[in-house]
Amino acid sequence: MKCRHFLLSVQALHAGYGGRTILKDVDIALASGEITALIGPNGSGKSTLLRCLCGEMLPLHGEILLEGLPLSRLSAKARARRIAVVPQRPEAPDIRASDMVLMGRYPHLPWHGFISSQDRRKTIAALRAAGASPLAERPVRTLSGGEFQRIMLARALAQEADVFLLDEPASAMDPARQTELFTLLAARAAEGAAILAVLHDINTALLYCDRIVALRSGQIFFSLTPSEVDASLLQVLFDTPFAELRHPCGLPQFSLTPLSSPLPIAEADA
Amino acid sequence: MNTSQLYTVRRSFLRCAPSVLLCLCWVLSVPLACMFGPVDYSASQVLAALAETVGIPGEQGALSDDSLLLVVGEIRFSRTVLALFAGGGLALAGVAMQGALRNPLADPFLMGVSSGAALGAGVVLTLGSAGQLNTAQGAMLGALGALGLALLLGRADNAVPTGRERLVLAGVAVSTMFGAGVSLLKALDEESVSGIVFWILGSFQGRGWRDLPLVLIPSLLGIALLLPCWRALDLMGLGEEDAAHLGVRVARTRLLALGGAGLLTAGCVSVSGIIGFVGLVAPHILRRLTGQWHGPLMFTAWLAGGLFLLWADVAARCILPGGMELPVGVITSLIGGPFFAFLLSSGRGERR
Repeated sequence: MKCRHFLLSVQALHAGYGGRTILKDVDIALASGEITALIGPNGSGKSTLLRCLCGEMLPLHGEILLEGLPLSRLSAKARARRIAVVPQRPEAPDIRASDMVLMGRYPHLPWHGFISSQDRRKTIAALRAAGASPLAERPVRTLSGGEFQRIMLARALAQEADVFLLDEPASAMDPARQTELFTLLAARAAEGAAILAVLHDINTALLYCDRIVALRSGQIFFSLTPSEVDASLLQVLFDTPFAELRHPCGLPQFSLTPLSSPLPIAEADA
Repeated sequence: MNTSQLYTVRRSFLRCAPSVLLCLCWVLSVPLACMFGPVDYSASQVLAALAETVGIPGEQGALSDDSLLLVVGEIRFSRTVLALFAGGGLALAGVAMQGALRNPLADPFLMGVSSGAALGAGVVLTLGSAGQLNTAQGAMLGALGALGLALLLGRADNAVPTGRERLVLAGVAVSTMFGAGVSLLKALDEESVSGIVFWILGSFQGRGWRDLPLVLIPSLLGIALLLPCWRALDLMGLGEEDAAHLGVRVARTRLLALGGAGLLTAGCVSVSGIIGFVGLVAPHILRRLTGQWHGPLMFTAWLAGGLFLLWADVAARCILPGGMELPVGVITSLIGGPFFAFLLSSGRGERR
């Protein structure tokens, strides 16, 4: 068992809006070299957790630590140099895709704000790495959902952060693009990045992530490796029956039950 | 990536073209605008008078009479400089307001600066010469008071970290309050009504070199506040949350931008009265020419706003015969309104 080096961590995190607590007593740690999937039903607090981890939202209790240092002590730019965020529903401004990616260089710009040729080179490299070079000159508003997600990924790459927080980064991507995305994320992880992705597709999460963290009503329900996840846990988590299948590679996969022939899943485990 | 780099080079050249052109126009306009007025002088006379005013010793005898030096050097030249600074300040304030509030309808008067200035000027006009201040100084005090109050009311607290609507509403509230004050003054003192109304229409009539510090000092302060946040304003276009993800301090940027814009506006309004349209529409026109980036946008808007107000002022003093003057605010709105309508109807589909 290799020694895990945690880049971003928090213990006993409580967070909420206007008197309503959404996250209760959440412990989470993102290790360098790992892709962590965050799953859970709608409204379980996944996005809120992401917003706390990137410093956008102040927790009611608990301190986010970036390599042991409180995140709140970092300046906004220093934070953005370490943590890249891909939001779930970013607004599409009236600019070109390459300019959107170029904005990922903002935390690296010097005080006067001028863009250097190095920034442009890194932008082009990020576009190429995300497979988004053909989109570079397109206005962001004309991009499809999946294309926009690739541009947002390129922007995160241009940020050169070592922590990636992605809110459903693949929700609008076709299967080939999803595979490309996770290949890219795995390469970043191999270089030492810590990655957290909110995912709705459990099977994608099981195939491509090193750890599955499930949130349920604002609390950590489980934190397991993909091979440890089973149908009964998912059934409780999502409150709906799942059929367990097995991928040829040996990892578990789960299917919802057809409406016409409900399977007796609940008794399959003991 | 050669094509992409080529594209960047060609585009940056195109982006530079408006700035260079505007710079040229700006420089040429200074002597040119001094040629026009109710009294006719020849070009050489005007140039000689300008040279004399600036302090370049010319040939003896070129200045035939003292009135030339007074009309060109004192009146026309000072109005030219004031108009360039005031118009530039208004346009720049408009760019900053629209960028910081992400609202295409934001204009420099949104934060209540104009009503504050009107109230300040109105109080001075009503009191007459009894007070120690002149109209411009009164307007400046009123404008700064209104700006401070609006920023204070609209400042973000911890519960609402992104208080964009709050700021706009605070501006509206302050505008309304100060506007009511102006109405009260008009109702109480009928003698001052025409003075207040004429001031509100906006004019450079009777302004001179002594008013220059009033527009220059707040303008320079305002620009000093705006300059550090030019790149952050670009990112504000992504939305507050996304900008924050990329390391922009949203609340601070917005405060700097609105404070800077307010100072610029206060400077302009206190010397020229309330001049509409420049701050609202100049940013839109320049955005089409130079693109979304706030660096070139702020620079070209400052130049173009000044140019526009300068030539509107020339028109204001030349259109009516016999030395009568139109308020320049009327000219800007008369030209600007239809022009904006034309832009809206023609350019919608071709935006890249």
